[in-house]
Amino acid sequence: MASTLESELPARLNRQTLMQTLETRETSRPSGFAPFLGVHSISKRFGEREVLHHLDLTVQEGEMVAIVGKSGCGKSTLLRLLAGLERPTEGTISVDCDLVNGRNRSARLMFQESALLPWSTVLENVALAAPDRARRRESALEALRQVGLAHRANDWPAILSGGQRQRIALARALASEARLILFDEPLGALDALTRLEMQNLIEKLWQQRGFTAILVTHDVEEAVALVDRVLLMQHGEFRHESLLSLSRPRDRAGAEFAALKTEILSRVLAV
Amino acid sequence: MDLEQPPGTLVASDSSDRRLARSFAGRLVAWECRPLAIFRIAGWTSSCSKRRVSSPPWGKFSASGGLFIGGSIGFVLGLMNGLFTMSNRILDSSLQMIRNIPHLALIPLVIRWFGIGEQGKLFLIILGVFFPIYLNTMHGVRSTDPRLLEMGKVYGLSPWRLLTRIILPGALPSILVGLRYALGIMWLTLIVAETIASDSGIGFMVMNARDFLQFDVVMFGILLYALLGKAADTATRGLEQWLLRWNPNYRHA
Repeated sequence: MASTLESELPARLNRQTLMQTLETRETSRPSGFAPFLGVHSISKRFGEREVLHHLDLTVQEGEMVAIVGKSGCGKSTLLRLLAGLERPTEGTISVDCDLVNGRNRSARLMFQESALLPWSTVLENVALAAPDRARRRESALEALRQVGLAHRANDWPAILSGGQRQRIALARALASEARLILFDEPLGALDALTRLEMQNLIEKLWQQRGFTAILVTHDVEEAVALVDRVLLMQHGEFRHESLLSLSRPRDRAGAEFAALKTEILSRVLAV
Repeated sequence: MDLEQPPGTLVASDSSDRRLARSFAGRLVAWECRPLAIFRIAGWTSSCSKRRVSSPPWGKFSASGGLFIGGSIGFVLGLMNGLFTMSNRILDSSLQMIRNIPHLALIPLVIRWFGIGEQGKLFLIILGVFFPIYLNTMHGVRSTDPRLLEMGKVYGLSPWRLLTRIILPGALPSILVGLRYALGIMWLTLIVAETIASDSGIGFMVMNARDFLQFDVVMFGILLYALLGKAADTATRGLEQWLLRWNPNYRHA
């Protein structure tokens, strides 16, 4: 049975309410009490232009959250702040109640382009950041097996297709034992079929490995297919939140799926 | 013919028939009977004169030695100025100033400083090969793909691994272009320096031969330069193809 829990939010998302909602809602995965990732009233300004305006966000460990919005609304900037690539002008980010200062050690960012090292083989790329030096090769091979590309371990990235490269980028994040994977429109450059495959793969790995994921996308269907919670962003603020409790694996042809998708899409377009 | 004793008077009294008989091919055969001498020329150790001043052993490889020393300095400085804005600000404009002096214009000074010999050659080659390698290394380091650097930071790579896994491999195509340029300049410098300010080497042999109207020897010297240049270029291309085998643009070059 599907149900959507919605709350019209004013300019600023009330964190207290959100916490209560999170604790009381039913999710497909049990989550602990303490929030894994906490974003507390962060703002980001580039010169005069304010890209993010006093954002609050709490994400539980193992949750998958999507942020949708028109381009230029500040989604990618938020991810870069979460990864620690940039510092917020105001506010703080915490992981497990520890303030993130500089790089966010538990986070890995996946870009639209795979950012593989062209001069390293697939295996070397995946092994790049495996934490255990002695077992780098084995953990890299294991991650490659999970994305189904172990047989390409010794190839150069240049000869792989776009979808395969993204799978390798995903394997690299897995091999580095990331707890939080930030997806910045990772499937944006892929064709429709490869996209579907990748979405299924991401869902499968998320269920197996239990990492926390934040997915920035402009594809509402992708968001509805994958995540538990969709946040709608506009002009650097969260304007709306939808909690999805569709059962997994999600039936894309189902009426509930279509209704949710239409509803969120109309909100994206309306704002 | 014994090249080590240019038979000046003999040549002058030769009839044109005899000089024709001592054709290029004949000369080559004569040279082939002297494999040791060819070997010595190829190693830049041949001397055309018995009264050659003894030079230190490191000077005998002034071409490769100069390439190595000048290239290393250029590489290190290029790396530094590519990576650090501070050192770039301090060093780059001074280096660019020196770059604008044609290094061969320094020959009179070099003769004054080092006399006629290997050291001057070495100095000129170091100066000549420094700039292409410096400029191309700096350019390569500066044009590192920022997305890859960002990825390296997200994955928490140490500065050393950022350098060896991302920056240097990314700069390598550019550095190799610099190396090929440097090889060209190395030959040019070597020829000019040997011709003007030296008492050994192929250039000196050619100049001596010109004085005695032995144009077969002159031709042979020029051919030798062409062959050595070609060999060096082929070696660099091989190196390029091996080091850049990940890049589809170089795979079948």
